[in-house]
Amino acid sequence: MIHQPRRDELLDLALGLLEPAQARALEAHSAGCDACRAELAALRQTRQALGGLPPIEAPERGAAVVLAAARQVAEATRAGRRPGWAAPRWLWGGSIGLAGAAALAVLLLRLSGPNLPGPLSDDREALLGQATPAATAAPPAGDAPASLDEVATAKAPAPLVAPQAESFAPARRAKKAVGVRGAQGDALGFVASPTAGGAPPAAPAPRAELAAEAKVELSSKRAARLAAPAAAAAARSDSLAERAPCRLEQRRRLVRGADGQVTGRVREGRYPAPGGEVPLSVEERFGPDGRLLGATVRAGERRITVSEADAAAGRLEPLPGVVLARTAAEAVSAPPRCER
Amino acid sequence: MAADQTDEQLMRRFQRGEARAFETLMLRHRTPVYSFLLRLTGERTRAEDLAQETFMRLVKGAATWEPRAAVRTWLFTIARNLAVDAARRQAFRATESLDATSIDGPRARHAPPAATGPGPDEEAEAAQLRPRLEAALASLPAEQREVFLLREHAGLSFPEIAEATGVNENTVKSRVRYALLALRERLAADGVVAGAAAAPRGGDAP
Repeated sequence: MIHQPRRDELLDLALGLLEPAQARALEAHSAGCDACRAELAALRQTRQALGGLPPIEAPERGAAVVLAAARQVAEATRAGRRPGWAAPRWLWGGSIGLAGAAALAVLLLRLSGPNLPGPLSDDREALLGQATPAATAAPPAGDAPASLDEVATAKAPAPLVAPQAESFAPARRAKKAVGVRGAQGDALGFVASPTAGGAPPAAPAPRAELAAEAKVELSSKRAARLAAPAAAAAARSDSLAERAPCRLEQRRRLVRGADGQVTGRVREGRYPAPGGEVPLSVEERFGPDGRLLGATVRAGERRITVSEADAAAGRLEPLPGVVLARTAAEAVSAPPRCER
Repeated sequence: MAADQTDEQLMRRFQRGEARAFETLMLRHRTPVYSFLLRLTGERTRAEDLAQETFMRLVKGAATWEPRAAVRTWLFTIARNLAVDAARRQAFRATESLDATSIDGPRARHAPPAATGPGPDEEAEAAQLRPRLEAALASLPAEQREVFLLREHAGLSFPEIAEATGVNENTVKSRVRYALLALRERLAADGVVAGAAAAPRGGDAP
């Protein structure tokens, strides 16, 4: 028989709620009282059995979407706090060329500036980290103004940076400095996700960087102001079912080894180029531990190889809008794009 | 590298713009949060959605987070509140209210979440026992279940649980006591633990 007054005390003892002195006293009593001892044992056994139930593994599904949102917010935050964040490598590398990069910078600035924060529906694109082809077109310098207006369409942004042409030469001189910071930025493991169409890209900083280096009037404060609503906009989105535009990825397939493990992923689509679009193919290779070993990206004539070192350093966006998976798991759980 | 940092350190880094810190944070907590939600709601799909939404809220709210608040408490508070909101909004269990104040309120009728399958090293006995334990947990009234889960699985302190659930600490303790008692009796009836030797039934818990 359990002593009536002890009922709660036994529960409290089993739950660890008693003061040490009280606990000792009750333990001592229980040692000499069969009923209390048995009840205490049963309570402890119950607590142990239920408290020890193993966790139920969370499914991968959905994680990538949250991480994409986190990246957006992080980038916007950094852009706001540290306007000196650097331009990613693609801005000055390869066939896009510096002039194109500068034009792209201006384009992005114009697109994002007056429109912030973008409408909710567009935020979803930003969340999925996928650029619309228009934003990534990186028109040659000479064509820039016309293309910009074309892309900006109904948004009718007021120009933030007027003298675009002036920026090119100084920007070229600034190339090395930008490059150094670029390496630092990349080492942190972020990718820029230039996204147009009203979804404010979370990378106003590289634009600010180029523009500032080029002595175009764009203050850090201004870049920060641009970034803040971007973060807010990215953060506002909560419906995640929307599909991002499909141009970059019209086909996707996973490559599996003999044992069924995912060893690679191949995506094919179209990539914007100055003269129209070119075929795009992205091949990722994953190691036995699931890590990205490397990738080959082909956009028309252009071929970009991403090394294991690049992957390890988080340089995962060889072309604007083309984002590599860091792991096989990430590739597997990537949000649905154009498959359905 | 990041794995041995505290939640709070990781959150600070995320606040400074390091997305990887958030990833570490999420990897660390997504299974506990999902487990909590699954056991709370009894519905896999709902738990998945709620878990995703929980982490989205974390992303959104990161800027306003202050180091004095434990990330873990925050996370489970969000998860718990989302679950309550969802239950209210959709009235997915018409007979149950997560926020019911009476412990004599309607009992949860959730099907216990199916086990994810025993690991290869799990003993057959444990595998057999587990569904019964899950069922016992699922049989608790929701307000006892959430408190028990927050205490025993999430490892929150009583003041933290009080904050998360919006009731006072004494009520939390009382609910945990009732939960343990109910579980003990259920397991006794199931033959999992020794039967209550003429134990007087309830009535004396505050």
